[in-house]
Amino acid sequence: MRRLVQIYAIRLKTELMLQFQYRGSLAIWMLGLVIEPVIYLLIWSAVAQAQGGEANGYSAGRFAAYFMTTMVVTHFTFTWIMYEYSYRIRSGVLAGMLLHPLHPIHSDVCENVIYKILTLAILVPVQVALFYIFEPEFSWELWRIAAFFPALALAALTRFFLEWTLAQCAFWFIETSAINFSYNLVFLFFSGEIAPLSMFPDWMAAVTRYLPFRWCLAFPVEILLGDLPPGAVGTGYLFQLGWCAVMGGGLLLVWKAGVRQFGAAGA
Amino acid sequence: MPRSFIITPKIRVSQLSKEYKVAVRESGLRAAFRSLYNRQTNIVKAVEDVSFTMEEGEVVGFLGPNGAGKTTTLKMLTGLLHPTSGVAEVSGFTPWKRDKEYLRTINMVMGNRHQLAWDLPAIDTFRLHRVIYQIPEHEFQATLDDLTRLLELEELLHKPVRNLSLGERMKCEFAGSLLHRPSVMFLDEPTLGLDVTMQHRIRGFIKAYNQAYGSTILLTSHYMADIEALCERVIVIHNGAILYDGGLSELVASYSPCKQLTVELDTATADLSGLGYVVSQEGLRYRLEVEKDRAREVTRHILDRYNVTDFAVEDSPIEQVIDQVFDQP
Repeated sequence: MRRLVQIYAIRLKTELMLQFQYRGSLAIWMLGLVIEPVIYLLIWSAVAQAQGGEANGYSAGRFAAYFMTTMVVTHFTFTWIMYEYSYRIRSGVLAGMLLHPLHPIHSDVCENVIYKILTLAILVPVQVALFYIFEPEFSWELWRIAAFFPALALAALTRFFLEWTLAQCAFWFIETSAINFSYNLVFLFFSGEIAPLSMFPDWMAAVTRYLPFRWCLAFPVEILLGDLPPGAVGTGYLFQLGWCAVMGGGLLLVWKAGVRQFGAAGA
Repeated sequence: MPRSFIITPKIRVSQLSKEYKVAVRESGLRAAFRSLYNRQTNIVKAVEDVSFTMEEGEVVGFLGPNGAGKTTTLKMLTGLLHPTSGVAEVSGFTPWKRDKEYLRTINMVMGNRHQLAWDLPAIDTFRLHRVIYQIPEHEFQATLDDLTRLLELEELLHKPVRNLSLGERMKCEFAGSLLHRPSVMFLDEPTLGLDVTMQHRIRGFIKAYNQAYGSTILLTSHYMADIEALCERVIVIHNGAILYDGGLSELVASYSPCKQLTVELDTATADLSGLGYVVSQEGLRYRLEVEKDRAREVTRHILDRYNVTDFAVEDSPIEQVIDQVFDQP
């Protein structure tokens, strides 16, 4: 454990130095992440106004609160590992990592943590600006703010495990872009990224309850917006813990099988 | 027998095989359509029943043409690949179980791949390696000082790796892979693409490291100078199977049917074609290839008949000998 703490300390420092090398690229990636929820916000606000101030119970201010929180949750849960894994395998980068007595996942954890900390420098001013422009309607109850953070942490962990597991499809398939595209499409709808899940037909909203995506994004947002009673928040935590365990277990199994399958091509 | 008297090999490989399933199809649009519903695959045997052992401290050259199975074998021994069948043991570990203790005792240097962070100075990656391999600070510093001196790294350690030349980068790659003082080294074309001076320096370094630390080294290289300088023993592999395992000098003796005679005469018009195959003539200097058992007779003939100012008898170049091994049925 002490070794792992030392590794994380120096890995985080190394990652910080690495990411400072490409400040421009870092900012452009971050802007992309910020712009997407702002576009949804503008569209849904326009819809609400066109329908006399509300759409499916959401006013422009509620939409603003929803998509601003979505932006924050996406920032802390988003990973890019699925886009990188195939390259890592084909270029021999993964082979190099496998020669070290350290699981490659630790490197990804550090990369993610540093990226998210650094890009707060863009996220925070953007959030302040949006707050003044769109006047969001939050439910400022203290227990909701306190309940939001564990939900956010579990969402980040579940999504990280889920995407790390899916990324390993690259051990079996040479070309994984189609898998990544399909996953993103499913995530966009079933996570609540494109619209609040309560706006979906009842059957679809019910399905989202039993899929992992809602627990990776919409659930923490719904807590902060005041959509969920305390009992539903508790049940939500249980769903998150369940999915987290399933995805963590899946990751271990797929990793074990993937390494056996590894052809070390390009290495 | 008491355990201390049992000498076990450092590397033991027995009947190791690796097969790949490879998709095949003919060229053309029709074949492309057909492959949509009728995908055909071939089983390619990259390595077939390979067996050998290596003692501690031994340096062995692993030779073979492209696609012979050298790198696949090395990848299995470093734990990157799982074999289809067979057994291997390195320092008492099964490589593909990827035990952390095992990975701490080995390294693999690939001439065509880099493992250092591209955007950082090498020293930053070295410090990360120190923690990953749990190298005590004083030991790390001592090894780094040694490597810096031996490889002349002083000027290079603080430059981003992307700004280094190929040779400079290779020296840093070597240093990075040796910081944890591996007892077994797998070197895959370590001098690939380097100029002659740098190749010479890297060779000298590998030899010095082997002598200083007694590490066991399995080396692949297409540069025969690497093999001649470092390896007394070679394993020749072709089409996945071992063709020869033994001393380099014995290989030359058994597979080289000819000797090369280089003579310098006082005339440029001598006709030596009746004595053997004239490989070249540059001015007064002739190079002649003769069958091994006729070398003595031809030598005597030239010395008796001509005014000889310089004379040398050598084995055929090692490249030619290796070709002979590959050509055997």
